[in-house]
Amino acid sequence: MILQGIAASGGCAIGPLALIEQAAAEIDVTATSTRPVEESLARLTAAVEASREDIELIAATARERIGAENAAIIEAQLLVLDDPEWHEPVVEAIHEGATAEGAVWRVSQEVAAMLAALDDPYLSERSADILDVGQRVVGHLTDRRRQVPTAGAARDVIIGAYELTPTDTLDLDLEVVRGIVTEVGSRTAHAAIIARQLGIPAVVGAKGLLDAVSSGDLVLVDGDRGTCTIRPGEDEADRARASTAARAAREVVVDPVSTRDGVAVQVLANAGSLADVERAVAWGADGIGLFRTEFVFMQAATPPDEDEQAAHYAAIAEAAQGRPVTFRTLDIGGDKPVPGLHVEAEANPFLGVRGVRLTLANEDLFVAQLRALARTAAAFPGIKVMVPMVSGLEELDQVRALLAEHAPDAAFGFGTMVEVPSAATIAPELAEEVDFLSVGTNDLTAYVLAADRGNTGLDYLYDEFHPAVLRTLHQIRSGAGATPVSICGELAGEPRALALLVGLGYHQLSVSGPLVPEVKSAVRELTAAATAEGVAAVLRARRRSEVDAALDILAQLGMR
Amino acid sequence: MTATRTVTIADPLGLHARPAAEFVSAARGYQSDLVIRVGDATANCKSLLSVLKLGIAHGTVVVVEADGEDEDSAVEDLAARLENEVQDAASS
Repeated sequence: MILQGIAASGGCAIGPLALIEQAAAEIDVTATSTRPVEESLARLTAAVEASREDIELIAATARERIGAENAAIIEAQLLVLDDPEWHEPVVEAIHEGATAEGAVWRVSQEVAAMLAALDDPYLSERSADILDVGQRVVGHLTDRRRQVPTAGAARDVIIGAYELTPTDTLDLDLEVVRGIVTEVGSRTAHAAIIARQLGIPAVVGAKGLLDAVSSGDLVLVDGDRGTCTIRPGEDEADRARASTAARAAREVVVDPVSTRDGVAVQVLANAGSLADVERAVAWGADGIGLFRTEFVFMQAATPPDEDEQAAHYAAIAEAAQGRPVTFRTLDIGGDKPVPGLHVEAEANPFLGVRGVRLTLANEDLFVAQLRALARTAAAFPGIKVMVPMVSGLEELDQVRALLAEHAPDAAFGFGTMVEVPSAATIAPELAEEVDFLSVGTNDLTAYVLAADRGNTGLDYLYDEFHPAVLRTLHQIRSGAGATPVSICGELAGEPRALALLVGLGYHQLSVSGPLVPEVKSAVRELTAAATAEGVAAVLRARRRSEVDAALDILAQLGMR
Repeated sequence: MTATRTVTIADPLGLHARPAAEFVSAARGYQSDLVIRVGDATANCKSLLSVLKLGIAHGTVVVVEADGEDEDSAVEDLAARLENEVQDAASS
């Protein structure tokens, strides 16, 4: 049985499922306490103190594991514990006869609901923190802490839960936990962000999970496709074990790599935060091929100004330790709200004002970012800047006019993303006018096939190996001539695609950090010159099945 | 007796996220009752949830009010924090 969820953190994992129970789920918030009020209050105080100790410990490890930037998520929970707006209603409810756990859970739910209802994405996210805190205090009160399986539990487990809180995710023992699957959740939830930082494969929003499984069931989590296979067949399980074992065995390769026949292939990492960059360096990435600047905007209540951005980008460049970093300018739209920036709701945000269309319409915002990036480039060599969602030369003209006026000395390499089909068609003209192109295969696939990646009803359609997508990649690369073209979508980290991409002439691949060692090893086993025949066969393929057959031939040819 | 001070929020991030948490932590160091006022809305300076709900943005004019033994030093310190948060934010 296969459940389709949302791909929250890449990679595959297989193992027995360990379900985390929700400590607060069965709390009767209307129950009347049989204990004296003083005793309930004393229990509350003890549980709050125990929770405070927990959170302080988690925050301390969080600073080490995911960086101070992300650890602030956890630290804010400490303030909730003795916040009068949370604490006083709890005490009041206990005085009115409620049990301590009932009072804590009811007030936590009420406060969380109130925050979630506010029209502010930052505050909505905070509501998950309130529930996390409430859950923890209830756990101490009922002696049913959400125990995340650690040493002593079976090794190589997959964690299953209705929903995973940020602190749950940080509690996970990386020696034991191989993957995560949850019934609800979103890609942007804190728990998903933390899972990506830690490199744990995760699928969230797998509806029906809790009905379909019990602890100990063998499950296969595919964090790239967003699927969870329950009790997979022997063959499938063996394949998954082999591929995860192979991945685990990959050694970090720090030096640049080439194919057997000497074609240099740069293996870069995608990143969105300082912690991502630090991890990418540790994985041996040759640089950052895509730095998503949205993160710094998402974290603040109002868009950060030029100085703040410059400081942030300098920290990123510093963390890359001399490796090249390609910054993508703000890529948001109606579906990805940014605090403090008003974006009109649109009937069709996917085809609406997003990426460069949005930044050109918000000139002050765009100028501040371009100037901040120019300052970063003045201090660090190897800084490149690329603009997302370009559909024609006119947009490039406008960006360059802004640069000429506001940052005439900008020393960064300037490039454009190719994800809109029109940009793919005019790749030769784009390539003549910029320093580099970078193909975002996720969006390109969606636009070529007119299929939303997140729409589970279109699973059969969204496919990076569709003949039209692969031919478009060929068209872009061959059209760009001598201009460097990189790939920064998920296809770049797909093992089956490597021989094809290198054979098509893509020699810069930007992948998620944990995939870097695997891709580097695979590049060294490849013979680029031997791929020509297989590449031609892939490009001739008429149906997906023919693509598969051609890719198999290609894999054999390329590995000779 | 009540001590009050009117200030303009200097932090480009507004009184959100970490600045708010730091502000609330500082407020809790005082005995006085402390209130932050934006127009007709008020919040308890010692409650993060209360302060967050005001959603105070950069450039907002706010009034800090204190009532208690250490009201003068409390108002002075908190007002200064709201006006000086800029360096803290830029270095983080």
